[in-house]
Amino acid sequence: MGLTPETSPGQRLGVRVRVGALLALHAGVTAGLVVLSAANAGRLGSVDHLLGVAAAFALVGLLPMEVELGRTTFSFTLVEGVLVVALFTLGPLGIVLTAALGEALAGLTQRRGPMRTAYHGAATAMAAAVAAGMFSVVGGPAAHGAPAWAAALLATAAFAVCTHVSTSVFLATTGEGAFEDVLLVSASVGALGAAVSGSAGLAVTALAGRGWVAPLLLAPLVGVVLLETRRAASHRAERLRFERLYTASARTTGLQGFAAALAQAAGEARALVTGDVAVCCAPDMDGVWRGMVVDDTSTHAAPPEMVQAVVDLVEGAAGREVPVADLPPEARTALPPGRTVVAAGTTISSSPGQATGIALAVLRSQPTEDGAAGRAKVLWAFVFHAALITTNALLFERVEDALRHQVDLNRQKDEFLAAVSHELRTPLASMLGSVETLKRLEGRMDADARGRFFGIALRQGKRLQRLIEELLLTAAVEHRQEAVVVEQVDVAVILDEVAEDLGAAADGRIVVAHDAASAVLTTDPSKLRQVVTNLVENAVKYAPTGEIEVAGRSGPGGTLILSVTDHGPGIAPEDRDRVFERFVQLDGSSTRTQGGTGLGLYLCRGLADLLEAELVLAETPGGGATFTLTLPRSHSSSFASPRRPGAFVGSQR
Amino acid sequence: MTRVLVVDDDPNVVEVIAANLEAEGYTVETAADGNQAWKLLTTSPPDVVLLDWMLPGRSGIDLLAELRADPQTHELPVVLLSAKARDEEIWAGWQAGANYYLTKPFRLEQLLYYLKELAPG
Repeated sequence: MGLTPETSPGQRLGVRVRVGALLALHAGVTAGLVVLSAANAGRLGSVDHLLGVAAAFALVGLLPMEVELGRTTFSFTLVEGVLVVALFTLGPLGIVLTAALGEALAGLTQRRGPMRTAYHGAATAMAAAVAAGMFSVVGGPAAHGAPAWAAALLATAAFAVCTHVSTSVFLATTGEGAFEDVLLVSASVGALGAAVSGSAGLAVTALAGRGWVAPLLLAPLVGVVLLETRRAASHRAERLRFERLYTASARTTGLQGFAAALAQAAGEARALVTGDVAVCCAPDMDGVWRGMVVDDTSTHAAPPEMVQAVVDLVEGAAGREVPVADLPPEARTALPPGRTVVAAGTTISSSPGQATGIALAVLRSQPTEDGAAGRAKVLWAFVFHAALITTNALLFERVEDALRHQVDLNRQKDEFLAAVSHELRTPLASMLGSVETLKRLEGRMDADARGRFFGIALRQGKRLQRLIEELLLTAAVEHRQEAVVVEQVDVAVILDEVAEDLGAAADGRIVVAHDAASAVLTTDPSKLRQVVTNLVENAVKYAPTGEIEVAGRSGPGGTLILSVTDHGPGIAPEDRDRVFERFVQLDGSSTRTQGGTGLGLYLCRGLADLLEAELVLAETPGGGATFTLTLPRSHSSSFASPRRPGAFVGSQR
Repeated sequence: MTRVLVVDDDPNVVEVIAANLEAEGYTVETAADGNQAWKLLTTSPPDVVLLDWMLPGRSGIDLLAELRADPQTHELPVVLLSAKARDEEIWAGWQAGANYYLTKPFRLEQLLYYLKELAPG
C-alpha cells in the first residue's frame, strides 16, 4: 500500500549501527585523502571564496532539477557545477569542508533526519576529497587551459561515481532498495546529470575569467530549468496519484459483502492520501448509515457517533483538508485521533431509513500542509469509485439474501412434501391393513373382530378424507386463492351453534359467554365458524376434564375478542409458537393419538389471516390453554376476490 | 413358538399385525413407545422385532442403533416398519442395522415372508 516496510526496534538499531560504521569509514577515507593531498594543498582558499562556495553547495542541494524528455524524467542537482568552480578556487581541504557544510545545510533545511543528513554530508565530503585529490594529481595546481579542464571533468566524474555508490550503499543498508538495482537503474541518469552540471560549472569558471558579471548570463538558463522542474514535479505527483487511484479501483472490483466493501474502500482511501486512520460510511440495506474504520493494525465497525461525525464532516467540509482542531468539540471526540482530516463524499439524504450517499474521511498525523489540495482531489475522485463498490456490495448482498431465501423455501417445500407423504401413509396403512386382514382371515374371525377391523378401516378412511380436505384448503389459504365472502354475522349465533355441534363429544363441558355489545360484525361466517370449531375441538381433545369456556367480548379499538379456554395440561411457553406449525406433534410420535390431522391450528392461523384477525395462544390462569382470536369489527373488503376465480377449493361434500 | 415384539404407537396398526401373526401361529407382544420396548427387549429378548421409526420418547431408529451396539442384542432380527418412505430415510434405516425395511402402507404377505426368513421354524 505504498508505505514504508514495517521494522522492529531491533532491526532499526541494526541499521543505525551499520550506517554509523559506514559514516566512520567515509570520514576516515576523507581524512586520509586530505592528509595525502595536504602537501600540494597549501591554500585553503580565501574566506569570501569559502563562504561563497559553501553557500552555493547548500543552494544547489536545495534545488533539485528535473527535465522531462519524452516519457523519461531526468533529475539532477548542480552540485558538480559548484564542485568544478570550487576546484579552481579552493584548496582540497576547502573543497571538502564547503561540500560537507553545504550538503549538511541543505539536509537540515529539508528536515531529512539526523542520520541521513550526517551520512550525506560525510559521503559528499569523501567524494569531494576524491575529486580534489584527482584534480591535483592529474592536473596539478599549475595546470591551465585544456589539461586543467580535462582534469576538472575527470574529477567531476570521480565525484559523481563516489556519491552515486555511497547513495546506493546507504539505500541498501536501510533496506530501501537492493544495491545493484539502485546502482544500475540510476547510473545513466546520474552520468547525464553529472555531465550537464559539470559542463555548467566549466562554463561558469570560463565566464568568471571575464569578470564576475559574466556568469550571470547563465541565470536565465537555470531559471528555465527550475521552472521546468516545478512543472515536472507537479505533473509527476498528479500522475502518481492517478496511477494509485486506478490501481486502488482495480483492486476493489470483486464481489463482496457490504462491510468488507466499506473496509476496503477505507483502506484504499487511507493509502491514497497517506493517512493514518480512514473511515468509510454508506447506508446499508435498511437505509441506515454504517461505517468501517481502518487504521495501521485493525479494521472494525465505526460506532454510530463516529459515523454521524463523518457524515456531518462530508456535509460541511467535503473536498478539503482541514485541521481537526478547527472542528466542533463533539466532532473532535467522535472522530479517530489525527492532526488534519481530509473528507469527501455526498449525502443526498441522511434521514434515517432512507439515507443515500457515501462519506469518506481520512485522518493524518503528519504536520506538513504540502499537497493538501492534491490529496483532497484524489480522495474526491476515489469517492465515486467507493460509492460504486459499496452499492455493488449491497446489490450482491441482496441477491445472496434472495438466493438464501429461495433455498430455504425449497427446503421447506421438500420437508412439507415428506411430512405430507408420512401423514397420508399412516392412516392408509391401517385402512389397507384392516381390509387385507378381513380378506385374508375371512371365515377365521368372529363377528366382534370383523366389526373392529371394519371400524378401523372406516375411521382411518375418514381421517384420510379430512386430511386431504384440509391439505387442499391449506394450499388455497396459503396461495390466497380462498375467497372471503363477508356478511353481517351475529357472533352469538355462531358460538352457540359450535357449542351445540360439539356438545355431545364434549360431554356438556362447553360453556358459552358473550356480552351484548359483541354481537354483530362483518366477516366471513363459514371461516369464522371453522376457526372456532377447530379451537373447541382441540380443547375437547387435549383437556379431558374441566369446563371449556367459549367467550366473545369487545376489545380495544372496536375489535371483537373471541376466546376458547380450557383447563387441561396447557402448552409449555417454548412450544406455544410451534403448535401453529404444520404436522407438529409435540411428543415426537408419528401417530396422532387424538386423531387430528396436524393441520388444524396451522389452518386456523391461515384463516385468521384471511379474516384480518390475530390468533394467539396464552396460558390459562390456574393451568390450561387459552386461544384468543382478535377480529376487526368490519372486514376491509366486502368481497375479497380470489386470484383465480372459480378455484374455490374447500369441502365439497 | 416364535415370539415377535411389535413396537408401534398406532394401536390400529398393532391390532392388524397382531391378528395376522397370531393366525400364523406367532406369539405376539406389543409396546407403544421406545422406553417400554427397551424394557421388554432387555428383560426377555423376542425372536424378531417389528419396529416403527417415529415413536414417542425414544425413536425406533435410536432404539435400533442401541440394539446393534449391545453384544446381547447385536444379532437380533429387526424389521423397520415406517411411513418414512424417502430414499434417504430408507437408506438411513438400513444404515442403522435393519434386516428389512417396510414402508407403510405395507402388504401383510410381505411382512409374513420377511418374518419367515428371519425366524424359520
